[in-house]
Amino acid sequence: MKGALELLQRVSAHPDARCWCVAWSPSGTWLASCGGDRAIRIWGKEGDSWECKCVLDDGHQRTVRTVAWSPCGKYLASASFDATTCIWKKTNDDFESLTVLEGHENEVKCVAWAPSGNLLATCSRDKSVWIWEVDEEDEYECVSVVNSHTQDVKHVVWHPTQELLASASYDNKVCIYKEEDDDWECRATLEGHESTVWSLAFDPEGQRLASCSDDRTVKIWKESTPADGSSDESWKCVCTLSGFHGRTVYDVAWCRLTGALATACGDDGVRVFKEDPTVDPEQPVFFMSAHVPKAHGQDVNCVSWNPKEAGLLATCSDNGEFAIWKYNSDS
Amino acid sequence: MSGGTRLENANPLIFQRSGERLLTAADEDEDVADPIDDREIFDLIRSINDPEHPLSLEELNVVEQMRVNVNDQESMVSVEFTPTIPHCSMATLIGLSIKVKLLRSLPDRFKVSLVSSQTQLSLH
Repeated sequence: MKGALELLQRVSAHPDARCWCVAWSPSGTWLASCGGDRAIRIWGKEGDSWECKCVLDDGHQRTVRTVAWSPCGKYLASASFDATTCIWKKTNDDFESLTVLEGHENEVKCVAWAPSGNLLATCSRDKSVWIWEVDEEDEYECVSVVNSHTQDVKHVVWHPTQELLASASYDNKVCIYKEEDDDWECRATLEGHESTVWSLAFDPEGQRLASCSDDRTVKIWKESTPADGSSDESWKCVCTLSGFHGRTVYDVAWCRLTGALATACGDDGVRVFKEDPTVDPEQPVFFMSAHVPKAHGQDVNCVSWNPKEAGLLATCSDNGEFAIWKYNSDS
Repeated sequence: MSGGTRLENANPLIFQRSGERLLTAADEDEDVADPIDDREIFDLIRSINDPEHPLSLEELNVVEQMRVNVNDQESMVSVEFTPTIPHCSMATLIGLSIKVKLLRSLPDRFKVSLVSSQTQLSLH
């Protein structure tokens, strides 16, 4: 069942700088991009092409590394190398800076909103993960600082349905966090990757976690409930995709609509994997359904599935571009 | 750099520097494209200074032209370097110096891989 990725549009979003991240709004109609030029750009479709609707270039003093939309779509969070995270509120045609979250000692690498919309997580090169709570008056308060990693934390992601957080680090490990007595703590450490873990993605049901690494593999982890009923949680690696990527895998994204897994690689390629439906889900098997070897002229940093339109994929690269693709699973 | 005055390798072997690159008629011709080759990469990294001694990486045989592999068509460069002593604590620093020099000198399309005989290295 071979699929194909068709290029719809290529946009030079952040000229002379890296484009680090692309994120679709929950409605699927806006794409936010951010990069080394310290700016965030919001793109909307006009007719057949994606046009820049808005530029937010005064929020940060250094590279903007990650942008994330709140589940309601009214807010945008941006994480920057200037050690701050900015929260933007969408007004009619523009975004205004609502507040700036400070506290990390150095570069903030990632920010993520919990599906409930009341919690935010950030992570940094200072090795810590911070969890913030938002109240009805749009006030943000840090509720926990967790230091489970021994090196730079690259990525944080929330579980789609439970209040559970996962983080990935340069220390080759993935940590899983849960709240216990008003404090967040690391409940499980997933070891197995042989080098930096760059990114994470939960599957649509939240039963499995995909991680991608500098060791050129993607691993799929599943939570195992021990037979004796004890509360010890452990995650096991149930599948490793190796031999597909020529260099570091920088990002992985699991489509909520189709279950397809997309990866962004340092060999300039974009790949889509599909799960073999005939195989026992306890020992899943993934096959490569589509591959564009030179999707970009340089490293692909981020890959993101549109939440409303099945098969629509955005990717971005070190050369400052982002690209929109249409994925067809049968071609 | 390594706290205190003790050097990691007080008596390194010093190697002779190879001469300048000889230009051929094809090199001088403006209409012929010059692919990036092993020698060009080696010329970029040979004079990087060693962290401990006033000597270059070439003079200490940390880098050698033989251990440079370039594929211009595929835009790939791989350099294997050998620190002068096993378990050299500055191997990561030397590796990063080579990597950054190449990343800054080569066109953006190039992928640079560094390999060392030493196992404990993190260059990413």
